[in-house]
Amino acid sequence: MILSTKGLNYSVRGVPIVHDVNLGIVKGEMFGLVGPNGSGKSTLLRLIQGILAPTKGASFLHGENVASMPRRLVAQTIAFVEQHSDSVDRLTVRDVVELGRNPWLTALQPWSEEDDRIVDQALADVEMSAMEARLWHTLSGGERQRVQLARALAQHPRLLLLDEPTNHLDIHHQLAILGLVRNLQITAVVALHDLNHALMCDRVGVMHGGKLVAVGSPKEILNPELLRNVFGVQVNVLTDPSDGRRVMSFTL
Amino acid sequence: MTISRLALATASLGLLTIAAAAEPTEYPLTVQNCGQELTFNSPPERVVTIGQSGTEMLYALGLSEKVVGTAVWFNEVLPQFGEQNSRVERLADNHPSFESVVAKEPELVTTQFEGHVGAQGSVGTREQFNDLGVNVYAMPADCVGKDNLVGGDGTRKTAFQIETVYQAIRELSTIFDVQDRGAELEAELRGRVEAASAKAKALNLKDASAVVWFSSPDIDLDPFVAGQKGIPAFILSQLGIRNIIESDEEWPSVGWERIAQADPDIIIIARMDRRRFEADDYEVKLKFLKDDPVTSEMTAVKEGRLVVVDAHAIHASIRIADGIEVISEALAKAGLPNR
Amino acid sequence: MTPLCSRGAVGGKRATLFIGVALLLVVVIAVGVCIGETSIHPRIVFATISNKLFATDFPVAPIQAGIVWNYRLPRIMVAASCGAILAVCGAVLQALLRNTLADPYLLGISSGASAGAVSVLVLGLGAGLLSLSVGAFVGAIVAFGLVTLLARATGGGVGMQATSLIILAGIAGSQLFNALTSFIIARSANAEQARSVMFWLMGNMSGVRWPDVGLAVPVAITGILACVWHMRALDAFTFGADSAASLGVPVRRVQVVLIATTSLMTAAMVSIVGAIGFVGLVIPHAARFIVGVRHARLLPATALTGAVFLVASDVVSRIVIPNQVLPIGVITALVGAPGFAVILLRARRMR
Repeated sequence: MILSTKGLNYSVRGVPIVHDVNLGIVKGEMFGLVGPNGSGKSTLLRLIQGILAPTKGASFLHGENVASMPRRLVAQTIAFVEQHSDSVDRLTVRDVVELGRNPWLTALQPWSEEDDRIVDQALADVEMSAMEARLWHTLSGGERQRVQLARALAQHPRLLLLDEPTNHLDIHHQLAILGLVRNLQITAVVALHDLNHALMCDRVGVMHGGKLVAVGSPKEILNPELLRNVFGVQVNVLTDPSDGRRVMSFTL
Repeated sequence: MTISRLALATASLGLLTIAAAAEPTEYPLTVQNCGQELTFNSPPERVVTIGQSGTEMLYALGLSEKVVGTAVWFNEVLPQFGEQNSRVERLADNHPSFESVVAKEPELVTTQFEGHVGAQGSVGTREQFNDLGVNVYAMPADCVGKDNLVGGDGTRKTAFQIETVYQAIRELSTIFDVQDRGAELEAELRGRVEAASAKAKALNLKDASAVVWFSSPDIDLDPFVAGQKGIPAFILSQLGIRNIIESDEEWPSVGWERIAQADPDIIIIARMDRRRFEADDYEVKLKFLKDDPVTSEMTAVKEGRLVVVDAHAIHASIRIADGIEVISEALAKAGLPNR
Repeated sequence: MTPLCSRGAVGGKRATLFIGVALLLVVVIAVGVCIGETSIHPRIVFATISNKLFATDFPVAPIQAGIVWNYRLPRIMVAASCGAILAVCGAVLQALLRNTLADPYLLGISSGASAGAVSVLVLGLGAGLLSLSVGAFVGAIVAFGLVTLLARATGGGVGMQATSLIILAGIAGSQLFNALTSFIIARSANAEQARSVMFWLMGNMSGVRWPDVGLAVPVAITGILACVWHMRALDAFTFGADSAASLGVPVRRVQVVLIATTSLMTAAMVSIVGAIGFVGLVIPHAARFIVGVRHARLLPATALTGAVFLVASDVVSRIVIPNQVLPIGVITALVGAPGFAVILLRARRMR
């Protein structure tokens, strides 16, 4: 268990956003977090890494309470990619990815060639090497997502938290990103809105009204009854004849 | 002092004969004053004086019974008026509020500065007083050839003329129908001014220069010094001394660098009772001159040629003669080179 | 931007840059000391400085030596420190609050200082024992304290909307103290006092002496170094506080340290020379234009540019109108306002 939460609660002015979540992330797995809008996925991701303080409960990284760990240490272990990233500064792509080395730099260990190498690798992984001198504000939404992912990779984390990373991406890059995360063999928690993408995950957690209502393999969890209760849709599970993959088709 | 007294006596004796011929005022009286026409049907019985020059001028004319309120005081009242003044209510040490003046129900208000009662007067405008049937007499010294809307204390287009002080004496004595006394006062003043100026000119000083320091907003900041065309400048020119300051403003702010480089032969410092600024205190000013690393190197400071004079004596008032006398004496003692 | 080249910069290149920068500052200071209200030949200026620093024995008239050493040199050194401080504070606040229009007076400091100064000058608070400077400093700290309380009470702090709340709290606090200042002036001040306060409010370097240097230079050095220490953290704030936290920045602690440091530096400066505007707002943008947005280079560049700018402004304020010294704030505004317009136009082009 690389990460676990115990009774994680978060409310704002008495309104519960996340309610009593007990979650365990196994090393090496790709964990998909699904749920309708407003179910608390983004908040849960923030609570997990400790950038938001829970009203009750705690999150444990390798058994240690995240709230009592220095932020530097947490950032060396967990990397986070937000849904939206906005900046008023004139940054280049490379500038952004270099930010990922922040948790590893100190006054006594400033920037070195090793850091350059890591940044180069991260850019290559997301296929953005050619654009490293481009300015951030000239990038499309999808390109920005990929740069942020590169930045997260540059942190050399052991756990990757991604908040709806496929939102602005075209189909090629949607599949490429998810494929990349799988192949990196890095532990990842990915909040997803496309349920078909959830099928790529090792395990899936379903959030509904701030509660974690189900956790398990995609096959078990994404059954017609749950999908009707949580998402309000009818599902039809099909098998792709060419490679035998399961595909879900939805109707109201 | 004996010499000036003698000169004084001679002069006043001469002019008294002329004065004896002064006629009583005819009412209704119209007076043109600083761009306004004032009308009097009879001598005013209740006056509020804003500005020490008006106060002491009326006291000198023997009118202290008619003064019901005073305001704006730089120094202690002249000793000869001490008793009379103690019976008059002091409305404020600095500028009074409009209501406090009007509450005394005056028929006439005299103002030494247009900055107090004028277009941008801090007490009020002349119209405000006129609306309540109160006449406002502004000292000609502050409006003749002077634009009070430019510069902190106004800017003079033409140099101050002492005639404006005599004019005030004449006009006020006419308004109050005490023209005999007025003529006496005028003669006395003229005499003293002539005597003191003559004494200084007799020293025949070779290009002596001076600066007149009034006060500073903060002792470290640039001081307020006398400009080229005001009363202190007039006094200096009467005494044959050059004012190192070139501005036409009444009391411009000039940096110590400029003053030190000009290295005037004497430094004249104003003494006052007011304590609006720390530097109002003449001892603070003296201490600064001796402690500051630059001013302490000035010739005037090293040689001790620092003259302290009452603030009121370097304003347009009956004390102008005092001012001239004090500086004139200091010059005599200074041992400056002559021609 | 070719980061590999600049990264490859070994200690040698960085050292050359540092020496070049230090030299530039010395040159600027020397020029600033040579030019002034009255003319003093540069030969005399250098002779004086040489006598004082190297115990040489060149003959110089005591008054002129005094002017150079006791009036001009302190004034220029305070101007340089003040320019550096205001510019760096502006850059830091712009990064922390992610707002290109942030300036060091955002949190009520200049308004508080004005109210404090006016209270001492006009109301005579402190019974003549408090100087203008002390009154201004106390006023600045009080205003800043009130603004932070207000910001915290409304939920300002970490997070996107939260920075707007800090800014709004700052505006509210500033307006309150501005109103207080105006009230005191209207009620109690006469023309002389009002004029003196106005002069002080717009920046006044005429009373600066060596004791002020003893305050300004150490504050500038320690404060700016403290900000430079956090240069990477400042970079990390570019995508917001959450992003900074996820990059390992202890957000709350960094915000408190940097805001406290910048506020104290600014309050100290304002208490010495009054509220000089536009430096903190415009200079960081000019510096970004030259060296880019990464704070490792931006902060030193901003400090230097601010120092040079304010020294130049001080010189101009003394010579542009003969026989008169303009408030230095007027000069910075005359340059800063068009500069500000240029920023807005550039920002528009970026969209």
